[in-house]
Amino acid sequence: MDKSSNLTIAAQISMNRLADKIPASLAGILSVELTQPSQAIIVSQPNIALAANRVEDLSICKAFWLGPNRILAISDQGQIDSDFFGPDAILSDITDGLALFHIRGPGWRAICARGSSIDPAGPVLEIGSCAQLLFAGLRALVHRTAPDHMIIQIERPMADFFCQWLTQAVEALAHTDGLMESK
Amino acid sequence: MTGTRLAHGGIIDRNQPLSFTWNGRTLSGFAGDSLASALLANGVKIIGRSFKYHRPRGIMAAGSDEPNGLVDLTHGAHHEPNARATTIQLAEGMQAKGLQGWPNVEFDLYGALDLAHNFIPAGFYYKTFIKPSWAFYERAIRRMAGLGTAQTTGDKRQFDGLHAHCDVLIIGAGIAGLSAALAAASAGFKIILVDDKPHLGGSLQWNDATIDGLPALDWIGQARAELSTYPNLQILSQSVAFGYYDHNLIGVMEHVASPHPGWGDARLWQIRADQVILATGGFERPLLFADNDRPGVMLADATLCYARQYGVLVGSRMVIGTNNDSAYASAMGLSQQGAEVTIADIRSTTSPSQARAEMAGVRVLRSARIVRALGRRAVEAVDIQTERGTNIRIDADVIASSGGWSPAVHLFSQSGGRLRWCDQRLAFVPDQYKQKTSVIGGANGTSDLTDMIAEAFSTISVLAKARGLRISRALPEGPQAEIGQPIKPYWRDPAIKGRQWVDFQNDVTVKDIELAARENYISVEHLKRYTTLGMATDQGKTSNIIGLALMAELTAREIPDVGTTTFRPPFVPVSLGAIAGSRFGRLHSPIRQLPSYESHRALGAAFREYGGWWRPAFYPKAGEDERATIAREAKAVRAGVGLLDASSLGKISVRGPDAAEFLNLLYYNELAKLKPGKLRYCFLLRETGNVYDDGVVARIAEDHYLLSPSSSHTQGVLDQLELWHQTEYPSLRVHFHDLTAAYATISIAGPRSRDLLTAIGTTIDLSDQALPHMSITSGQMLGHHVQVMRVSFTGERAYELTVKAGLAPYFWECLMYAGADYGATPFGIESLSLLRAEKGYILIGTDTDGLTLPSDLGMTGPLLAKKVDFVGKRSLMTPDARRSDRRQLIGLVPEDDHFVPAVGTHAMVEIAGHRRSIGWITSSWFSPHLNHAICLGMIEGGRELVASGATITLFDRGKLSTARAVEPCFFDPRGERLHG
Repeated sequence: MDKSSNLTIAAQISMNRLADKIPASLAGILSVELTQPSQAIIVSQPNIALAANRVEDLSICKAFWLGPNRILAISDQGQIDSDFFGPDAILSDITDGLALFHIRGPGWRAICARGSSIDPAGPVLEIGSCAQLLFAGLRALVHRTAPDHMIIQIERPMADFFCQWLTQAVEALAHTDGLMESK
Repeated sequence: MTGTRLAHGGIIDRNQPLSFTWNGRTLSGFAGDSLASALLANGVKIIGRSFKYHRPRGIMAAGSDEPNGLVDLTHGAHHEPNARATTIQLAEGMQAKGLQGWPNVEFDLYGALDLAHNFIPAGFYYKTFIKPSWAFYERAIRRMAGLGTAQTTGDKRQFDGLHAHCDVLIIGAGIAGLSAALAAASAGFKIILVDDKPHLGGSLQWNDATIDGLPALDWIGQARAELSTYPNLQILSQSVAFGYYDHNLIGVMEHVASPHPGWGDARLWQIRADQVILATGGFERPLLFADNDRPGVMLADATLCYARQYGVLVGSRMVIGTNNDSAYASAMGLSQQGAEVTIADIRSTTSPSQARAEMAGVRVLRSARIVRALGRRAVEAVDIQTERGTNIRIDADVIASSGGWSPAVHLFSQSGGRLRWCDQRLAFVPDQYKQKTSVIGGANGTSDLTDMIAEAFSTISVLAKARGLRISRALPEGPQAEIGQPIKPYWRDPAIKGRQWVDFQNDVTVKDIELAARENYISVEHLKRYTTLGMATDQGKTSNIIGLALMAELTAREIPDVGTTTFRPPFVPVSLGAIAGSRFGRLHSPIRQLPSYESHRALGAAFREYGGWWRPAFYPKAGEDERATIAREAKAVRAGVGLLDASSLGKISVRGPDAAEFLNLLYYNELAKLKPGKLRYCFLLRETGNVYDDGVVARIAEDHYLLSPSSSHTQGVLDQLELWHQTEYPSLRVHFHDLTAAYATISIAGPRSRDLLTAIGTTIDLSDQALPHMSITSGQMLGHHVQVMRVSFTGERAYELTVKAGLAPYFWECLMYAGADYGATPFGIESLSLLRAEKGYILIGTDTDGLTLPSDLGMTGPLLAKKVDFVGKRSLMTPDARRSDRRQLIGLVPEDDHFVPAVGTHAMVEIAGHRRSIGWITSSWFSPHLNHAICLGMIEGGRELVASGATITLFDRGKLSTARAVEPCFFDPRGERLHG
């Protein structure tokens, strides 16, 4: 048993199946990847102030606005210094509770259209913004890092369900005539 | 009616024949045909039988307003019970059959019901089927009067659904919608154009007009080509906007012509638009005359549509009745195709249309009205009353009529808009707008093409100006306006004898409306419900206005004084499968997976959903049934050690200097005095005092608590914390973090649980002195940080290990491996349920309901001892909360040791020969340790019954049994095994 295995094996299996189901016709249009953060921390009373629904690129992590006086700090590399957010900060490590789905390619809009009522062209999904919403019926935090790169953060026990949902969404997308709805 | 396929014209592809069956007979059509056009081309006259009287019916319209043409449709594996033939695209291999006829629609024995029509008027159900009961008659009536039969197997197809956003959503691609799209696209708006037909153009496709100097069809082609150049425009054809909801959200159902195997032929769009433009046109109304429901009676515009769109001449001898100019287009068009056409115009005046029609060979009878259709299974002739009061009879195989046009205002009304009656147009038209909506073209009551184009452009111009945009294309030049004769109000001729149909699909006649008026059902809502006018699947598209007009006449009111009924979604029937979208089967609802899911699967766990998590119910061995498995697992826990994956239990961290004060305000139990390192079993109440959740609360430090709500209530408890903090106690310095997904919990239960933990090695002192029951600590185990709670839900010594979720499989496997020496047995939720029931431990939502108070469960201490206020306290002080006859938790032991009553079995008493329920069984098991059945139940005055050792009568679906009332703890009542 590999004790360092973090992501659930079932979700990884589903993810592999999903990768197999993305047809050649979607090459360059859509790819999906499941990752986990190096560290994820909920921080209450941080010593930084984030505007509502904004993402800040801090030196050691990215900080996502969760609510007044509350952020989610995510590091892709290494651990976050627990003193970084000041002496009054209250921190909880939720690294093992998060799954990050990366949707790359222009097809991200079509996936977004199937998973949520959010307007991909609206201000909520501008780069530098984040949105807490229901995506495929799951509580999710969604943001974009590049024009064609959307990250959907969900709680990890839902990762397998989300993989299955993504599989169906990708199939639906593959059957439509092109990506006209993603305009 | 003898349908003839014309040699030329239309949108059909004569090089692509399609084979289909009608009532088992093989027929052929062409690609591009609708099912209705193909049936008409094959000379099919009777398409169904009417709902109530089983009269033969034929195709009447050409679109979603068709009231008669519902068929049972099978295509491949898909079956649709009430498909509207006029909106179904013909496909190879389709199998269609008519509805409502027995043995078939051609020869229907139920047709004899028509002879008894005098005895079955509107409302006869309500008056007749009273004794012995409606249920006595219901089955037979439904067999005779029902529509198609739904398939009994689930629809396995997958359905796609998606959201979209745009600046301008244009619904309808007729001349008005197309003009609006051209203008809006040129201005740079992001547009979605929706139309229910496969081809753009609306009725312009079959009506003569010249636009921009081009024949209508050529202009449509040019417009389509222009629209295709705009990247900011998306066209959804064969897509019907069925619902207009708040905040400009429109539901659109798109027909997918060639779905991928396994996928449905419809997909749902939810479109949110800044501005919605309704260009939905109108519906032609029929005229009333005796026997106006015979096969071969059609709407005038539909006859032209079939000729020009599908190349089907629906008859060779046609009589058209009208009170307006629009029917002349049909008359001339059909005459050009070789039909012999007579038009009976109620008006006495002469218009340019009439003159042109006469020149085209149409016989025009002025001041003439159709009074009767002759023929039973098909129209054979028509009686016409002329100006001089004389009747003439004309042989005909089709009678068409046009009683004017009703704007399609359904979506506008759904948007919250108000209508007004327009006397000039004899129609309700949009008046007051509620949302960001514009209505243009026929839907706005506009009938002139040039006016429609101008209306579309001016609407877009206003929108563009507001956005700082500008329309960059010229206004299309419409045809020269012609001064025609106005429509003449004509709803019926009271002198006509014989039945005249108003609502064809629900068999509502003029006589029914007269009866409703006589019986004072004169409110439009009462009229609708008493007669069922407008309540069929066509939603009264051809009948509502006529019904209102008749009621106005019968009650000496104006039409607007009668009012209109409420238009509700859906505008047309839509697929439930497509509305459900992906939400069925495995994707029906999101269910969480345990971190160690694969480990449990490898052990052969039977998974079930509990509180939104897939959890092992039990782990059967080969040849073991469920009951045997549960008994084995439960015995293993009582005798040795069992492992339970309890990762789904909530883990909410509550921190801050005021955490103790805040939790003490929320929870029923005293928490401020709880010492660090200790646990307490607690209730969280609603303001009503009812138990919302139970669970263990641990105090980690002075300013740090850990809540462990039940699996299904974790989010709810978190919401309660946030709600109370944000609304009532914002000054308290406290913070909540949900850690449930990030950490896993494994429960090790049984007399050898400590031995197992000791064996795998830990830095934690597991002695009873260092870690007594209901305490918490942390340390190292297997090289990792763990938190250990000494807490039990089985009644045995037990420990809950909490580790990072990613480590859960590793810990589970290690415990299983090391546990082999101790007989460690994995056990599931069903076994846990048995073990906790033996101890009388409750499950929230199973043993409680929304009315249960803590005192009903025997927990009264905190109310008496706790000095500070808490949520729900006031409700617990009410007289109702203190009644002694409230339902209370007790134990029940069936007198038949091996009879296990079903959960939900009622306890009852008999008073004066009447049975009354005094409660019910909430949990029921056969206890392998006690060798008899045990139950928990919520029973009125339960504790008194226990004190008196009462025997209770149980009642389950007619079967009676008895049980003794006992204390709700069956096993180890002194709790010695918790410490053993």
